[in-house]
Amino acid sequence: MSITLVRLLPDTLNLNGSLGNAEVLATRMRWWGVDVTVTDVNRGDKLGDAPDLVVIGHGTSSMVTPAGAELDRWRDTLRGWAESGTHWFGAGLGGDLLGESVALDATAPRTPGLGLTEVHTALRANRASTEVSGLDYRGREVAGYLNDAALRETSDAAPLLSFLPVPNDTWQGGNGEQGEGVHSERLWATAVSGPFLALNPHVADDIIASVFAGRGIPLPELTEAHSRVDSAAETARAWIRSRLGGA
Amino acid sequence: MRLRLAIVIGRLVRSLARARGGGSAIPGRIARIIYPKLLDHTVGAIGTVVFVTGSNGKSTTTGMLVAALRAHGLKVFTNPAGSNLPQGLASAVLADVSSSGSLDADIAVLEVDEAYGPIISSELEPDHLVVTNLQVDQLNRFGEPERVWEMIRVVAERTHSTLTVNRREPALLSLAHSLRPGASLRTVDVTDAVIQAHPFGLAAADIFAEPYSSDETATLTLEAVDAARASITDSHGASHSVGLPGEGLHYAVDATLALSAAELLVERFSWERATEALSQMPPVYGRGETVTFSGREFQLVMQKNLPSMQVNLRGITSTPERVWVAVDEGTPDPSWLFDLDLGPITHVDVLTGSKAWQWATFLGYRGVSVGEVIADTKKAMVALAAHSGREPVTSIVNYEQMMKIRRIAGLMDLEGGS
Repeated sequence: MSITLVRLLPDTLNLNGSLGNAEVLATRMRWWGVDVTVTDVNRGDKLGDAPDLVVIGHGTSSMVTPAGAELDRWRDTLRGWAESGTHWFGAGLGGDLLGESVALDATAPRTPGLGLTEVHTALRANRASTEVSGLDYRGREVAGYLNDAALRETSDAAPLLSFLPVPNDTWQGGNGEQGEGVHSERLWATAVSGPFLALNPHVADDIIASVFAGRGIPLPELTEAHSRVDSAAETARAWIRSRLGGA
Repeated sequence: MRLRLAIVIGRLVRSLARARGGGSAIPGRIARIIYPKLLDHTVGAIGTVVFVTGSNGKSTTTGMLVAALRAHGLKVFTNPAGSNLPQGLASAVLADVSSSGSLDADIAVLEVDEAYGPIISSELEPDHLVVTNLQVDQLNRFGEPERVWEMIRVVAERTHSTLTVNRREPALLSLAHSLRPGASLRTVDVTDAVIQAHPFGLAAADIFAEPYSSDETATLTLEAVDAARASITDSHGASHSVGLPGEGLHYAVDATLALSAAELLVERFSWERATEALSQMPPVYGRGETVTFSGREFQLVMQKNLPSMQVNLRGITSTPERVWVAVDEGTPDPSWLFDLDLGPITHVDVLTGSKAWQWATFLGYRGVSVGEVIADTKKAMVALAAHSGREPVTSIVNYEQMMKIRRIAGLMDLEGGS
């Protein structure tokens, strides 16, 4: 089986290890013997055929305008990809740009996002910079480092990705539950820094399972390589939980 | 009266702290509480004040500038490397100031933390500002480099005379928009050939600041870097060979900036004296230092942030015999590891510190084998010292672990040496 993965705007949205999420997805699939082609699509490039998977990384606030302009230029094609079954993972600003709009602050002009989620984001609110630990949408442990200053609003019905204490209380929606991120059938977006999927491989495998399901293939058993990194990630999460005062 | 009181009490606290082997910041903090204008009324009374700030290379550039100025007979007041917060500066003042509050110096050259620049410059406005670089650094502290740029911009706005930057950093050039009337921009240049010869280049933060087109000729141009030697051309076209305290493009850029500032500040600048002074500088603290424990050498490779670690890893040109990674809460968010090129490292023997398992996860995805996790630093050193092998253990460490390792190895001196 061969899978195509596009890293969208890695020249612009590549902050703090966030493209590590693409590395995690590609590496896990390769460990299962899948032929994964990773293609970078940068500013000014032409888009090709719809890939199986898109990963879009985090960027600084001054990247909103150039990244937003490029996404706007590609809007029809990218939305076409989404409708044709492409899966999406967005980290930080990349995840925000998959939503309705992004603004530098609550009063600044809004840059339209791709509209694949209902989230409106205003950057430069109260910043949280701390490790976090909680549960994901299926009640499994998630952990990471939240370094985030954005205020996000969404509808109450939008399902959160993670249920965890967000110190700056910047995710408004999700039925008033405290958490971050958003997910839908074929989209996952998180505000947690960097390689979220490395520390939380069960979410990575949800994404891969969904991609494989589109080809009618079930998720295989974990290989030794998967088990080794997943065991390290589990201990890393436990240490984070412990540092936060959890059992 | 309050100035004298601050000096007397500050010095008393300093004596007590030193007697107990304690840190250097507390005396300065207390003196500033007693007399908040301490910096202005002591350092500010010196004829010329220079600030050196930026993401990386502040200590090196400050040290180089001080060495070059002293080589010309100038009496320079400066702060120890890394003591670059307001209290650290105040403690440096307490070490040198007379009881009446005067400093016997012709010029002050101060290393200033980029985040504390706005506070320090609100108390003491610089005549000259040298900005080493703007890199993606300490995101857990700053969130994004744009915020650091804004803090440096505030200092630029308060600078009276000159701002010196590397013109290959567009974000730093754009600081010129904020200079007050009468203050001017000075630049150094780095040739394309030099940048292209270094795989990770200048690692300047890519932020979208208002562009500034500089028509001024660069004061100095870095033409070539060969190991620990730089070739720098002056504005008359003369080429000068400069010995550096270590190998790497960053040291060469630091030297170019320091020499440009020295050329400005010295009435009869002598390249011979300045380059001689730079060539005699000791290696920068903690960068490539080797410490010995239980008969085994540990070569320390600093893990500060992505750009600096990438540069430090470049010094590893073949697969090391033994590799140790020791990283703790001094690096709260090690996410940037996934942007790292590990070069020839194919195995890590021991992982240590509270971030060990995050490192293990990362290394797993890179196919790098991991021996064992030993959380405690000393136990790890004991285990590594017992391992076979002749080469020093390549030890990738963050600052806090480096300090711990040095203490365990019996090196008790504080950073900066005084």
